[in-house]
Amino acid sequence: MLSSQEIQSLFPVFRNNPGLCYLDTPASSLTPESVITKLREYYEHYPVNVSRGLYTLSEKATQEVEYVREKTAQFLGGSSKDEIIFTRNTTESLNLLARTLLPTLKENDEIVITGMEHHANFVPWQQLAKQYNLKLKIVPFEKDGHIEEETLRTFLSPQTKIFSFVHISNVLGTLNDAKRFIDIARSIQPSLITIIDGAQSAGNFPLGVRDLDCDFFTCSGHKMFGPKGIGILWGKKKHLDTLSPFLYGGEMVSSVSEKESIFKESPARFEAGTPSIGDIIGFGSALDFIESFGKQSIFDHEKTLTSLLWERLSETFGDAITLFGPNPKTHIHTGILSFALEGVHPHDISQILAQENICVRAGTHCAMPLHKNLDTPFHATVRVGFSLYNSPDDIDRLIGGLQKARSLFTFSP
Amino acid sequence: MNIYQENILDHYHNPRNFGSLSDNSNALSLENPSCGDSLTLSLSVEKNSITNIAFTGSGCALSIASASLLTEYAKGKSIEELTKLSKSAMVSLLGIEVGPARIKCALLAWEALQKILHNFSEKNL
Ligand SMILES: Cc1ncc(COP(=O)(O)O)c(C=O)c1O
Repeated sequence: MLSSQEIQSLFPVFRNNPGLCYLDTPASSLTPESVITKLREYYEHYPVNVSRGLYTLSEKATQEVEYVREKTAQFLGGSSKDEIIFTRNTTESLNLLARTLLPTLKENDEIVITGMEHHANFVPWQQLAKQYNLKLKIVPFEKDGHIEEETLRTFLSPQTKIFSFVHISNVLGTLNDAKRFIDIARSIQPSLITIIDGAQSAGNFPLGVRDLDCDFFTCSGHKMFGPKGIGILWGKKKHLDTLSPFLYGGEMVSSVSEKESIFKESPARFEAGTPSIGDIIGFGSALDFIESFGKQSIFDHEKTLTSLLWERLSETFGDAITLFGPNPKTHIHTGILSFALEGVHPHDISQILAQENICVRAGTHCAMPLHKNLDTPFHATVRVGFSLYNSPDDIDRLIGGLQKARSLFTFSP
Repeated sequence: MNIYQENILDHYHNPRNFGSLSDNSNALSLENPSCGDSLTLSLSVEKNSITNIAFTGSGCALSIASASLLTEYAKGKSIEELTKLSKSAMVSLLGIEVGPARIKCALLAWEALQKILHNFSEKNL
């Protein structure tokens, strides 16, 4: 693997911001030069619409988009490019599913999610349940951030129609055993629909959608080194071709008369209107970028840094720090670590770190129900997330910044 | 500019008027949900002026210090005067520059005060 310095040199943002310590990848990853170059290529050489024109430039743009569709299918471990629907982000993919699955549900059907969901996989189901008299059941997590299989079993039932859960928690860094969860769910209700929120796992977790055997998988390009504005919904073809569309308009119909419209098969069926063409094409280069390192080695790199950070934080702050999520000594803890430091509000920590050019996230990270269940007086945390461009140097700087925050705030009457 | 000036830290560590009043007829709780700040402000009003004011809550230095500074400022002032206290005047009380990411924390107590004053005026029209 390249050194972190060599990797940083592949990201223009580090040249333009000397001394940047970026620990907020779970929100958005930074963008490599190769992706920016590809975006420029599109806008400089064939910046036209897809599918419509019969002229060369439009053919080129169409070809590039369909090439990325194929590449995305392979990258996610799917079997066909027709199972890839381009959306704006994970949030849109999940909302699309909630709306599209609605006609298959009836009153009192159950939707199961977990207590560690991002709002993107929480609010759409909560609102659906409220509006249509469905039951939303929320599987709680244990103190160390994992979900007990026995608990999961008691929340699933033959009435469960949808089971939607986060693969890697954006707060706790927990890796949910998706394959196992799905097996358990199907043993209780064989025909339920399983959905994985893969926002934090799509770019680093080696197993693909066919290995996991989910029905749907959602993710965001901007958390995978891609451009902002491109998301993915992967679904089994058999579902995609029968479910009703979410958005209606051009490109998704094969014929329209005054009284009737006939919809195309997937993916066109779910891609009404002009897509974010340049972003899709740029996303293809992001996938190449990830593959040049390999998902497994990215996963391992992030995990190793988390273990080191866990150790250093415990050593340095002892009882004054609370670390959330699984203990990396005994369980898998991915590249995301959230914590609370006694006596200093997370917002103040992140502001003091910002003065040192260290970027972390403070607050509830779009997971308020999760934070209500954390043992911290502020009901908020500081979150650190690692990626390829991070190294133990970032941990040193973070620890230094935290010591500064702590000394500034240590009570002196 | 470093927002952690001595004055801010002092008001954070030793908040003035911290607590609650026995009469809570003019009290209001507000939350700043995305960062987890929560605050309850209570006033006593006599002849249109604030005779007593107190707050409780937990939050970042900015939200606690601004509540503390605001309660000091408000004591003895008339309702009219306080209704006129603008957002920027509140930020001036803090004596620091507050960026867009933190402005909600800095204005939490001010917002609670304005809501209480509004409710009070409605009740006592
Ligand atoms: C687990 C998880 N789900 C969903 C989302 C939402 O992603 P987006 O904002 O790209 O829609 C995020 C992003 O923060 C996330 O971490």
